[in-house]
Amino acid sequence: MKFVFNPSPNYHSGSSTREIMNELSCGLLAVFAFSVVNQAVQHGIGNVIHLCVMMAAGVATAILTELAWAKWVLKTEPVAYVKSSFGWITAIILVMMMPINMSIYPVIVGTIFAIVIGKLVFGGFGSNIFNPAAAGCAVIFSYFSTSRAADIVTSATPTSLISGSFGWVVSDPAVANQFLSQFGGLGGLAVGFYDGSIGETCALLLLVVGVVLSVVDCIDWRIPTFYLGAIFVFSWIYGAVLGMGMWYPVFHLLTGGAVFGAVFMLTDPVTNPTTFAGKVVFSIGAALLTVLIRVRGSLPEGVLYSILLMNMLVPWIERVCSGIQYKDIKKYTLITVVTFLAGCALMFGVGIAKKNQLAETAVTANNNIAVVETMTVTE
Amino acid sequence: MEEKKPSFLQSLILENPVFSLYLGICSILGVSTSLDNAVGMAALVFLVLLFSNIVVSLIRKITPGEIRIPVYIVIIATLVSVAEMFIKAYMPSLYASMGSFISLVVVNCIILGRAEACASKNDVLTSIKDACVMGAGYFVAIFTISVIRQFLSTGGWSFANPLTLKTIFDIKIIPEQFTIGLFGKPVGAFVTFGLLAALFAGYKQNHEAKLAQAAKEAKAAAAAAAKEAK
Repeated sequence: MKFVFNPSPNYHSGSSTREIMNELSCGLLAVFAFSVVNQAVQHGIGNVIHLCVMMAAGVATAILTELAWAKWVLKTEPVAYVKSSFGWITAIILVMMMPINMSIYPVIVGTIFAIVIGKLVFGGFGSNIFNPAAAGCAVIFSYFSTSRAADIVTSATPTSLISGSFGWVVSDPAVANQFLSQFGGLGGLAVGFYDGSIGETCALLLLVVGVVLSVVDCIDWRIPTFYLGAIFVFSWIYGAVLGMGMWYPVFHLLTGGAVFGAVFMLTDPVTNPTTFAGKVVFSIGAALLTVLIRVRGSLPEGVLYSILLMNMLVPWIERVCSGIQYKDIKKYTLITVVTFLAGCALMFGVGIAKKNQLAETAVTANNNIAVVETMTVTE
Repeated sequence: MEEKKPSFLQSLILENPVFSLYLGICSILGVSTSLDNAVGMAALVFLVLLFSNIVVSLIRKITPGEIRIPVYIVIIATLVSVAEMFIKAYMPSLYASMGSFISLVVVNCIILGRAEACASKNDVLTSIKDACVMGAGYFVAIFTISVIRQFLSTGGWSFANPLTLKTIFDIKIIPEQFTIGLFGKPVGAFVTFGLLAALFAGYKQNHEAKLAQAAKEAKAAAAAAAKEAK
């Protein structure tokens, strides 16, 4: 009998890694096609050209980097290596996460970083710890945030607006309505003709692609489902404490790459846990970090860093959750339920804290006004 | 069969204190942002290492075994304090840019490690030799890292005389907008260090494989010769 040893992902669904990756590429192409249309409709041909140049630069850099690595470092057959390493998927996902006015040079540097440091030095496809595209994006966002292409038209994104002007809290329904109407309401946010990271705007299309990919067994349906569900519940709790309506959790789901990250990044079979319970815990943890970074962190957007942080915890999750799932079903159910409830409790506490903080600032503001008034009266 | 001794250059790679023994990494990661800092740090570590090795080796016969580590630490701390005052007096710019990393030389594992592993057991001459090899190894490590980091984060290299602050050379190759700020930050230090350590480990592995191969061949040849002789 002949045993075949491969690094993970080891599927037993009959489809090979190559088929899965081809299906994933098709899904990404559909999303890319929408973003081309989005840019053309909103800002005209100049943005479309820039978008295509960015994508071409990213994919070319990824393939050239892997060719060079195979030829000079590994000294193997370069073309075969590149074909089995799927670097272009990393590049496409990375470009999809960029804002449209990012200049080309950071994309190239970020792609090289993603491919070499994020993937190849760990041993290539199947051996990486972090999601390579997320690693590359983190580098670009941390060190090239000021590097922008000059002549590209863009407007503020929903996430940057709500975090910049409101700190993710809009208690007044009238203000909320006015804010949402800029993007055509929640429906407009779902359809996606607004500015955001290139691939993240059309939540509907992303969901359809996600469902199709799940049906053909390309991605694991459990991760997006639990991730998006947990984001919904956590942000609902936070919003309910602060007196915001049902639009708030929906807004959390529709903006800022939550659906994109759920479908294309968290499901990366290499960097998520292998067991059912592990995947659920992983998704809930990522959702909690996403919401926490958004509402309490200084960054406008939390999907990227939540993915990287949860990638780091995967070995630990594996140790807690590995085992025969149906045999110890009670134990694994307990682990996932406890994780979920702990997340809910944490969000509730964070909401209360924010409420107190807001009340305090309001009181001081009122006092100041009162002081000013008394001063004017005495004068 | 006589074992071939590695040359000085080879021993810099094979017995490099930083990349093979992973000692003294804190200062390497902290101050390898520019050539000025790197050379200053390397000189400081080398001098402290040299004098601590000499002193430890001189008093090795009268040092009680139970309290040898505190004794070494007092010696090293004294030397570092002296060096710190010298730097503060004569090279204030270097003092400002290296900051607390100067006092942290006290806990640099290379110095304590060599005092324990070599100087406490050998005579003065061997200890001086050891300090030279280790100091050179530290210099190679911090210099390589800072060459890479300064080039990528500022676009070129510059070096100034620490005493007079006169610029000796200042080369710019990458234009300002194409520099990669990442490498000026701690992240860049870790990335550069990790990659270089992997390179060194790869070389070491290759070298060992070659030695094993040579030994095997020699053995086979000897066996064949013995067979023929029979």
